[in-house]
Amino acid sequence: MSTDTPSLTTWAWARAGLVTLVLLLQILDAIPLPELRKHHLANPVAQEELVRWSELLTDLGRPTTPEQLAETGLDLGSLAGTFRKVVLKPWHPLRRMTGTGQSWGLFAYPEPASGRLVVDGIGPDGTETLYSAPGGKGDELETLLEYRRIRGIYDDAGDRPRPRRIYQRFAQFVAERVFADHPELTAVEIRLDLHPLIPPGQGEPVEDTRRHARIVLRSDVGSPP
Amino acid sequence: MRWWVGLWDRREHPRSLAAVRIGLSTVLLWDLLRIWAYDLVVPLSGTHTAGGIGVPESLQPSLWFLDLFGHSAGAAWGLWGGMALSCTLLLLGVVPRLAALVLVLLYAQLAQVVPAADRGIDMLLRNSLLVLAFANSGATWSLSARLRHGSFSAPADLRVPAWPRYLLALQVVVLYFAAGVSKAASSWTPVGGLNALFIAMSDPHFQRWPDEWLRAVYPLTRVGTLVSWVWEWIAPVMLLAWWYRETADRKGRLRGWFNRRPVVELYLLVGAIFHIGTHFTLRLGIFPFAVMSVYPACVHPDALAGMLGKLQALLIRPRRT
Repeated sequence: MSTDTPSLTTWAWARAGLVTLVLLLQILDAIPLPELRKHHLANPVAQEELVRWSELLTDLGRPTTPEQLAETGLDLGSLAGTFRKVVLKPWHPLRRMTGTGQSWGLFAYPEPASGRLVVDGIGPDGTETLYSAPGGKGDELETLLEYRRIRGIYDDAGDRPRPRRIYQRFAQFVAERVFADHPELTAVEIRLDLHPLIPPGQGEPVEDTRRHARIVLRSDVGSPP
Repeated sequence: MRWWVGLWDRREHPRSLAAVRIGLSTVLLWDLLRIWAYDLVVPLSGTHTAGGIGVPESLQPSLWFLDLFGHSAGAAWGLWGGMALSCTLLLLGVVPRLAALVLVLLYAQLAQVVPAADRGIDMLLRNSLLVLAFANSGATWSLSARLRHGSFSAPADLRVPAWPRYLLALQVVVLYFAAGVSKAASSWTPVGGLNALFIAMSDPHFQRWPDEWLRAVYPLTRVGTLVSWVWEWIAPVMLLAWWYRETADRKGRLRGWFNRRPVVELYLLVGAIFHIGTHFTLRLGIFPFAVMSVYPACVHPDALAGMLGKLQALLIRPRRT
């Protein structure tokens, strides 16, 4: 081990103390504690996971029902969440001011019941699909909708059993862009169809189901036809 | 205890920190320019009354940016412009610490305007920028160095505090390990059939290749799922490798094995292959490049100089023959 630390100043000790404090707080923030809530378990994917993991525990010699597993998860989740919240609370203003944190759930739960953004233009000649994820036309609308920050809005706030309020504003925003480029259209429909993903060998592909449709009329956005 | 205090008191050449500075600011500037190019400055950084998608004016406590500059579209342009300017200054290495601090504060405001538009990678960028606000990352490969030393590169014997690089390197370990542990869905494990990567690659919002192609390479996606899951879980191997390098004078077969091999560099190489691979199989935006821009922090400046020297030799050799 390197021992070339001949004279450590007071500042060196203070800095090491500050760094240690920062490290401890960051590690506590980063530890993936199971902060489960009831609404998390309402998700169909979570229900499937409960069944799968309880079966595995039962096979391993510890008989467990999905309900018991859910209850244990909720108890632990409540405890873990409270502990983290209490310790990190004094630092919250600093975290908010700097937008920093350590939540790294990157594709933690790939969603087999995924969504597909579809934008339909409705005009005198009928309905035309202007965009359907994952696109392929390479036009301006596609470039816009596939920009990561815009995708974040509909994929995060819209692609869920009950879309958040921003989904309506997103629909309005998309409609305004579409109307500007298509003066012939009288309405735009934005929706997030349910698109079940079935891996090979686990069943036949299933048709998409219409979901979360929002129709925006040209008169709604205030630009004349 | 003295070792721990001494560790954070060390000094080294600034090239690794400079590489992170250049990488991060380039990626972020590219992203900011895309906001401008797609005419999204006001929709993504403005109030709802100014034409924004979000409703930041309803936030409590309110955003200091809105308190200072108002709710007009001009304020949105101010937020974006302030970020673009500070990002450019950081890239050039002009007042880099101040630029990084201003950038991270404005970036945090932008994050709250439309929270859903702010992704995990933005948080990594802000974490790293906050560290750069305390680092002497502009000491080399910068306009500051040009002004101070008459060259864009600082003298080889220049030394700056090393602790910001250590923090950034730890950030990489924490990022991967926490991401690995968070992957609790059974689809990441043999229990769930290792379907996670296939599902992610088939998600229409991230999909880059047609369904038929994905189905044809399904077995490969399962291998990829296992490899990426294991690779994230073993991120602490970098900590072990650094510890073994630090204690190279001690005995031990495993220590010897580690010290004879570039374990950290190999881990990062696999990471780079993984990220570049995901860039070509998934639409992830700046994610792969933003993560890789922090990689130089994991490499000692002397080792980085060696790598760059080898790369230079490789690039120059074909011209000579």
